[in-house]
Amino acid sequence: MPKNKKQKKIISSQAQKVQTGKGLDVGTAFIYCAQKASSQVGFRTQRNAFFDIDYSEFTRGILEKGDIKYILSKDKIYVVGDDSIKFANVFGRNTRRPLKDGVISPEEKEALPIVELIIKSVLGSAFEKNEICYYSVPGSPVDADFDTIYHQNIIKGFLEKWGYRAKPLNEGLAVIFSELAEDDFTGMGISLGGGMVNVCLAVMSVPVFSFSVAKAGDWIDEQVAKVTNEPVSKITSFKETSLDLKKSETSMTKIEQALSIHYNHLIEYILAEIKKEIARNNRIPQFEKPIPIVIAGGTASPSGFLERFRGILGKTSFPFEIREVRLAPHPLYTVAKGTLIAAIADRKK
Amino acid sequence: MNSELEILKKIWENNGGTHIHLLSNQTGFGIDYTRYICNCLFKKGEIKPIKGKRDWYRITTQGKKELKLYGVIKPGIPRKIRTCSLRSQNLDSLRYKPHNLKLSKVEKVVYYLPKRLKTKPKKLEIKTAEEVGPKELKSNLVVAEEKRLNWGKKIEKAVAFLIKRSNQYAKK
Repeated sequence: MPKNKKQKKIISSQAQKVQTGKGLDVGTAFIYCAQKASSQVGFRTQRNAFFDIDYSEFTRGILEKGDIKYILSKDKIYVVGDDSIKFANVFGRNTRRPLKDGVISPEEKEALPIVELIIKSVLGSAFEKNEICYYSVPGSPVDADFDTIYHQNIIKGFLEKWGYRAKPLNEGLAVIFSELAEDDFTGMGISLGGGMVNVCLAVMSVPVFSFSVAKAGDWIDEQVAKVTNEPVSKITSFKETSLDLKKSETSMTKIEQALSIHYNHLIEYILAEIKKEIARNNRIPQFEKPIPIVIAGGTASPSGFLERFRGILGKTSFPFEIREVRLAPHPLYTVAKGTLIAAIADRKK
Repeated sequence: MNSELEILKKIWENNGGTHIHLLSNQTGFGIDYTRYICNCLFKKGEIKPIKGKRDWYRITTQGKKELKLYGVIKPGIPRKIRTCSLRSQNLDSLRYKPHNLKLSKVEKVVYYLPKRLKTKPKKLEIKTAEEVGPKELKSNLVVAEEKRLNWGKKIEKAVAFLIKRSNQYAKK
């Protein structure tokens, strides 16, 4: 027994040994940070949403008693994290989002300070000066008229302010780094997030093409909320907690049916955009072997999504042979894991 | 003066009955808008359509009351007194036949909006929503949730592959 205790002590002390280099996934819905500590990887998460209520000592007291995360300003209390969704549901309003369509929202005045605080709470301070931190950035959108330069530089500015050496990494490529190491980083990575779907095709870790579409989980929520006349926050929490796409259509409720229809449309839309991109791109290599596709992200998390994707892919004629389509284990952490791999590899080079 | 009141006043000024086109010209409103306003006034009982004349309206007693209420028209003033004061030749008739005075019910007067004073305007201080700066916020209350996964070996493996691959590119 003492030997075991000693071993446990050694293991726990090893777990405490933190490796420098961090991976950051700046998503529209969630922000994740990954950091390696010996044999373990710690993932810190924060929902990228907030809900504002008028400041009063009484309200503050209630929030503190309820262990609810909040940020204080002069005259407002911003409830952040998962509690913001609960509050939005109670008040019958929608949560406010600092990011929209994968980039910093131009509609939210408070977006910058709030997103800065959320990222800081997830990332923590730098372990050493100029610690490498890779952060995810979306690819250029093919169906929206905006670029990601501003967003990319704002996040970089935050990280550098806190003592990090910030480096951007395409979200789709991060999925490939995370899940396709055994395939020599050759294949396609698709990250279905809240604001965007990012696609990247890479050959031996070099991206052939990468792009994004501005239709994703939030788009599904908005459309379903419109057709069912329910608040978006209610649809979001239902989708995240109890959606099962394996259910037969006859046993589905109105919300489930609407979600199912929009999921189908989204998958068809993504596949059509991938086909367009391949047709547009002249530099597509000839693959010797069929390639794998890895799917990640919160929108891909509901039960039955993978089967749905496979089914629709099987019906469409794809330009090259696909060996398998698989869902990343822990699809929510995949991008953060990919950015962490890039950070550690960069440090060790 | 709101649009309804302005149109009501114009109808009254045009001797009780007016066509919509004339009202539109006089007020500068569009014909459809004028028609809409007339419809509203009709529903309130302040004007009435003139029989046999399409798009013609006349003011009702209630309409006149409304104008009086807003002070657009004055209550009756003996017209003759006023004219006599201006025209001395009629003074005799006034002096000798006071009982002949006829009180006009109302006098048409036009009230204009007060002219702008020619003074230096005071600078308006428009209050805009205050932008929240990060320094004003207290962030120490936000603590992120953490989950640990045993992915250390997997990550090391992936890192080794990636370094190998990037070294190959570097050599080339």
